[in-house]
Amino acid sequence: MWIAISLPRFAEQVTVKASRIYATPGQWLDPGSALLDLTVDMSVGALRDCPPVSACRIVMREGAWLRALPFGPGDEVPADVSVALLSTEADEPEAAPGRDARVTIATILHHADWWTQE
Amino acid sequence: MPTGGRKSEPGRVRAAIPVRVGTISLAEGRLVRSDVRWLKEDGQACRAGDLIGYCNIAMAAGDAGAFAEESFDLQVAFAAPVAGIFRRQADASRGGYIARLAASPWRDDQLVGHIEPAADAPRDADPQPRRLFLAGRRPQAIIEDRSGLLTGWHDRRRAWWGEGVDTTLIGAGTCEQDAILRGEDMPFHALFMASEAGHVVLTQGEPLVPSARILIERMARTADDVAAIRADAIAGLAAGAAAPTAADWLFMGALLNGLEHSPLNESHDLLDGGGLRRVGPAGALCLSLGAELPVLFRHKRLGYAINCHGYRLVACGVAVRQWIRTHFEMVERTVDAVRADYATLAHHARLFAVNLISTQGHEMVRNYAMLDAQTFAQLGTVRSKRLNLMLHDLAADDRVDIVDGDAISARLGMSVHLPDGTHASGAINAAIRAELLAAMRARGVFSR
Repeated sequence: MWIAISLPRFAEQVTVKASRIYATPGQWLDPGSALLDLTVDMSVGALRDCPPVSACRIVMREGAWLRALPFGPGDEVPADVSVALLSTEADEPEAAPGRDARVTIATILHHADWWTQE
Repeated sequence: MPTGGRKSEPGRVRAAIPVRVGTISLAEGRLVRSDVRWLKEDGQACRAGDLIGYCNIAMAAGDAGAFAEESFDLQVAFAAPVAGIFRRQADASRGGYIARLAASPWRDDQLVGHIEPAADAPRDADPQPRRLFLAGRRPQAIIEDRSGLLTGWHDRRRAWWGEGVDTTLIGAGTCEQDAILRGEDMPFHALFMASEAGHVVLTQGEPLVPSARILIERMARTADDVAAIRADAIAGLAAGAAAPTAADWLFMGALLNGLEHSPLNESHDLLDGGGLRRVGPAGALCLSLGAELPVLFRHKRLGYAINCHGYRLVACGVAVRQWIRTHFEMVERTVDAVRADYATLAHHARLFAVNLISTQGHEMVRNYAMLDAQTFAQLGTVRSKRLNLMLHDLAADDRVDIVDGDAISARLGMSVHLPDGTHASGAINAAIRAELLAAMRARGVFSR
């Protein structure tokens, strides 16, 4: 069965971008494996003195084969698309996702990331 | 002069209550003021305690030492003694720069206006208007902004009632301190409407965030230390590959200004009905646990720390970033380090601390044991909870009183009152302010 990772509803107007990718398509992901990090910017597109930007990491809660991860670092992730597609079997033919994947979405510290930006 | 009062009961007319600038026990000519700038329209209803107008004031020649750091931005606002209708005194303000620059002698009996008491205004109310004094310290004199009440860039803002002060409270932390203490309407007014006596000092050393470590280091810094930091910063910035821009020098100036002032060591001038006096270092300190950012930067040679929000570092110029990259190392700010610094500060002042909001609406963690060590170490909500628990340990030892912003936010609802996860509504700020005041009163701070 194919399964999908969907984003939670962060807010009405939010910009979500992939920031770090930890897996590649074709790879088996154990429960507990980190898949990717996202930055969640709730500035609604306006420059802010104190921008409400947080970061979160998507971590698998079940084992699955990663089949498609269409976003790279810096790519915006729209609210209405799947972040990733996975399957329970390695060679399962492509099919519509039967359900959402079981994942953890954890808020992570990202203060040091500000400093590595150029 | 108003023609009379207004009817509060059938057949009875209550006299209008005059609002004068009032007595300040100084020799004539020692205090000067501007004309009045209005905060209420003529004929506007006001509550008891509402601010109706204000003046800029200044110590005249001979008192040059008083308010030396705040001489440009010293003001007094007049509060309505009872609820009613405010009537302006026609000759109290000529407007323009005459209402912005302190140039007229202070005369105690100068009328600001009158209050026609509301029918339900207490008849035994003290008819003397209260006066709220305000002072701002500019980082540099050129940053002039006389557009309103305590407007402009100040690294320190103060306020106190002119009828007596029992304690000085310093607020030092993130922007939440501004929201809680200065409030969102008239500066400090919401806080002072709920307190009888007190002196609040709000310190804001942007771009330096005053965490506990920053406050401690500033307390211990000597003149020689300051000179070394200045010399290193100037040489380091000028020696970088990128030529510093004007914006870089402004950033550095603000940073050095923050490093060179120590709020916890400072004494303060006060004016009140009794005249001019000076009070010693603060007895109470309100901190933001949110100021304890996950990392700070420590100077490799001189050892001092800077603590800045990431978005400030991203926005500062190339030359400043090069200077920090070359001369500083990034250091993790552990819970134990924060605990030790809070315990140190508790020796110097009664501590009140606004804790951290420890949940995120979109977070979904059902099994922490499943996470790898690196992810677990990076969990923001876990760090917040650990810091909040650390506060409880200190509170159990009677070293801090907790202002539970975490519980307040949860009670009021984060999706409505903290929609971006960072910036709180007025309702949250008001509730935190009320809880802070209750905690302070329980400790005898602002209790009169």
